[in-house]
Amino acid sequence: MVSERYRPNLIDGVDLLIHEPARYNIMALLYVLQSADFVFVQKQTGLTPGNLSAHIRKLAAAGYLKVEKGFAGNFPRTDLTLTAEGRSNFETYRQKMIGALGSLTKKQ
Amino acid sequence: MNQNEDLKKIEQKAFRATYQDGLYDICYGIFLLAWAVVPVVRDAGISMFLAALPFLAIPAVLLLAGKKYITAPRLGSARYGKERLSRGTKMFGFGVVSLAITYALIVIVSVWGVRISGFNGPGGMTVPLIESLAIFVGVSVLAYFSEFKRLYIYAVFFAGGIPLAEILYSQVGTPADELIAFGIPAVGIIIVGVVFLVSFLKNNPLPEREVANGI
Repeated sequence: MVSERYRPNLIDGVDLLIHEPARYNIMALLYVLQSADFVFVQKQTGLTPGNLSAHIRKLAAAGYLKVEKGFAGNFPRTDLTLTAEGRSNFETYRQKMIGALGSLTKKQ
Repeated sequence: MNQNEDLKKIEQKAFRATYQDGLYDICYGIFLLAWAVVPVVRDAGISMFLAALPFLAIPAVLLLAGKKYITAPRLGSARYGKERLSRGTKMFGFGVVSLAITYALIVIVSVWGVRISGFNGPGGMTVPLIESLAIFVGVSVLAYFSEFKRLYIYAVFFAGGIPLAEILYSQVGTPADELIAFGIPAVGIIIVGVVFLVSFLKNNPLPEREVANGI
């Protein structure tokens, strides 16, 4: 058993919903934009439509994302926007990761 | 690199995606082509305004329609943050100031006859060089604010054509001087744009309705 002294608990309390790489990419993209449609997010993140849909559902269910459906002409369009909660949680996640990674010393 | 720089890079990558379609290249190319073709048409007795009109209208229509019907359905669309909007406002402000300074310099040089060590006068290079410098600075700043890197190269074509036309004037006369100085780079820019557009269409087929509809 690993001793308590060596347990790597640097990122305790980090939001694991955001910590997953694909969801991090979605959140980071929407964090720097006001909003984007589904196709734009898919192209930028390189995820497949099905995979992106699954992650968006999780983020929307947690209240991090607002999903709005509409039409651009005759073409369906799904707009994605970070909610205030999502934006704030992403900012908290960033700060925690900066703190956690910043506290690691360089390998000698 | 810190996290803020990472986020900035994500935003820049997303924004620069808008130049993948080559539409801006084609529009700048057509705009430069006007500088080559308008003198020819003008010499044929048609008013300069009428001659220049298609070269302003075609890029505008191409850009608006192209972005709406070609780019947006394939690449999606996004609304950018406040910083990006403020960059756009700064770009517009600088464009207006730059245009005003250019015209003021041209008026000063041509009306008051400023001389630079005998380099001015008929066939002189003072006015072309000042115009060229002002256009180079203006287009480069446009490239900087719009983050359209190829526009730095086009700035050289736009600016370089003016003194080149002046040099060619004594060799080939008018309007061949402007046709060569502006026409060749304009066609080159349009070709670059078309290559980007074809590659964009090839790499980004129209998504299915279900995909566009998302979840």
